[in-house]
Amino acid sequence: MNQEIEKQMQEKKQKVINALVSIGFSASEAEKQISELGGVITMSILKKVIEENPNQSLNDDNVQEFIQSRYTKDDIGKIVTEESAVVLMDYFKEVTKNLSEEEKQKFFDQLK
Amino acid sequence: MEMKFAEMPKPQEKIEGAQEQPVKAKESMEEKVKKLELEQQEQEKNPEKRGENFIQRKLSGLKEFFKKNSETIIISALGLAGMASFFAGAEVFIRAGQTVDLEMAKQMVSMFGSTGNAILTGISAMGIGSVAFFGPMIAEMTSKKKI
Repeated sequence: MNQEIEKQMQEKKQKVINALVSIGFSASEAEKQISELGGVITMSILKKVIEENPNQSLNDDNVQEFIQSRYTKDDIGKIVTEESAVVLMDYFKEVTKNLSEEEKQKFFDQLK
Repeated sequence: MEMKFAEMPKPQEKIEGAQEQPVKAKESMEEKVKKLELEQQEQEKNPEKRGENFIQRKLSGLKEFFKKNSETIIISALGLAGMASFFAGAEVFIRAGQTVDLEMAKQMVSMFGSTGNAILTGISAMGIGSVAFFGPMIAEMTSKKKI
């Protein structure tokens, strides 16, 4: 199971790298930016949690437990999905901004 | 002490020198501005640079937020990587339609954590968004064509 998920993640990563390379990224830069986006998404999720719970004293050690006790699994999934979608949508809009409609279509086709 | 006329500084030389310098500096500034403008134009055309600039802007805004809320939360780089794994693990199980319990979530965290691979952690957090939203997002981006 774990290996299967890891394999899926690697395949997904490669798909995104290939799409970015097709619009002019170097493979190493694509990989670097994907990694950085992971950080941006995670920070955005935490920001959302903090905004929703302004009076909590949270840190590295207690934040996971706090989230698990305060949010249902579906709620966590919803926040994760929404926040990551916003970041990713903005990112892909930004990197494809100057491409022609045809190039954009080709780029997004690769991510399907 | 008396100074002979020949030793005295010539006013003309001073004035010439003073005039030349500002002109040179002005030209240099104009060149710099032009160079910067050209660089910005090049960056605008370059998707790779646009991506990097986007990430830096986002990170800067988020860091500012955490700085302002430093009494509330302190997130270290290590904690951040762990959190990405946590969210990714939780979401993977939700997507897979399986029962998510604490034990399974912990296993997922330990699985992602044990790789020690920042890139995998990054794509884990990124991948979860793509599962649900790549489809609608692509539809939105290409909706003009479909109509």
